[in-house]
Amino acid sequence: MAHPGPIARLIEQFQKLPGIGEKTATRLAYHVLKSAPVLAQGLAEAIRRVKEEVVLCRSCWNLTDADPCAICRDDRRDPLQICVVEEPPDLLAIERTGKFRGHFHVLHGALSPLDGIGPDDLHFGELLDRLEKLGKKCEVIVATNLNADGEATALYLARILKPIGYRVTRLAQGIPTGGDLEYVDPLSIAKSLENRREL
Amino acid sequence: MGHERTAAIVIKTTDFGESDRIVHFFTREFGRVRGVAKGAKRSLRRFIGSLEFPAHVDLRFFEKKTSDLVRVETATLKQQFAGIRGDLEKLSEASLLLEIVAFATGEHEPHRPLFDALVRGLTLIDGLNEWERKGPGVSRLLETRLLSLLGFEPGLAACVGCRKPLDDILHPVFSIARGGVLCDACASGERNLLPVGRDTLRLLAQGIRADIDLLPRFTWSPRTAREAALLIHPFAQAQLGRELRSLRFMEALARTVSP
Ligand SMILES: [Zn+2]
Ligand SMILES: [Zn+2]
Repeated sequence: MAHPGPIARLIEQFQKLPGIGEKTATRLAYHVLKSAPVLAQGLAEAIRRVKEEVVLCRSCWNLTDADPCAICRDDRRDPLQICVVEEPPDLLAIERTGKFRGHFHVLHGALSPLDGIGPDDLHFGELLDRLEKLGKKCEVIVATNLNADGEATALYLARILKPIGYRVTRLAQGIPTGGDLEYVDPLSIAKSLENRREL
Repeated sequence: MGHERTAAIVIKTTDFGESDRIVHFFTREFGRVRGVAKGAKRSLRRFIGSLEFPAHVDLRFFEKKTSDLVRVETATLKQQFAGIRGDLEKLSEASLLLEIVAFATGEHEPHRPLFDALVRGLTLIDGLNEWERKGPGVSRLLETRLLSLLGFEPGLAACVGCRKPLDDILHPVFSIARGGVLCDACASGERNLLPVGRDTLRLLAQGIRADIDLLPRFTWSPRTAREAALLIHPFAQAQLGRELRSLRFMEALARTVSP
């Protein structure tokens, strides 16, 4: 037996979401149908608002509902430290530490030769414009991921920023917390040796 | 079906769900293989550093009857290629070689000579000094070598129209469409022809047969290196029937910064 039209449409929409197959989509659709109207209205409203109200901050390119975003508006933060991350969740991960009091710049991706993602596809130009306004006293802290694409992005940033006089630093790379030396890859051990510090 | 073991190069890794990764390998014994590495995002023991492009690993996997994806059991690092990962130009070239291999081979179609040439090529790039001087020539020779092993060998020693030897051709030109050199007579009426020096064609022809470790000894001038790129890259894309993304990346990189 086929689902009635409106239910079939909802199942079809749920199925477009990542990681949701037909079974899960059907279960979710019938759940929405059976629950109180307030759930369906709340869900529809939240979905509509996320598309309408979330924009990119024109300064740091983070997701925000007010442009400039709360971080860019906060004048207690150090404007001369710019931490460059690939994606908004990376920014949140750094914010959660509570240890960083500078500003951010979100690239929205990483360089990837295999995927054809080049410098023109990310927010590098906007970073350069921002830095130019801030002057040469800026430090750019590169916090891209430590995989091949993240490293390529870090190399690229160093290459474009260092010759024009900016200080470029990279998050220290090394052995993860809980890491057992025996199982750690040689590159991480080499980086940890390089980045070792006094006890 | 069952437990398998092979040498492999990691082509690409993508996150899958909360803690797993899907890894695309080019393996020596089984050709291209895609697999799920369970818990790879979190596991500090089983996969650390070994599922990153372009790692050379000793791969153990389990093949299920019901799935196209194998289950990656362990991947132990043989070579991490830190020299490639620490250099944008080397990384781009390694990507290009992997891209050629990925597009021109089928899943579960082993090609051992290709695998061995790829590993030796990556090892060469990884350790090569003076990249600016030697890199372009070595790169073109490696690309030509892999293309030849894949059955796309450019015709370099004689006219691909009438078999006239290169030495007897007055003004050799390279035809992307015909995949090789044309003599003056055969070239008339053909389109998209690239004028190319005899020396460039000879370098590429010798490179196809030479031992990979000896490739850095070939002497390139800026002109021969430039001509080789103008010839091999369009040739590769025409033979593979698609745009190579790594080439687009290299061009974008060259536009924005010069090392
Ligand atoms: Zn902002
Ligand atoms: Zn001819």
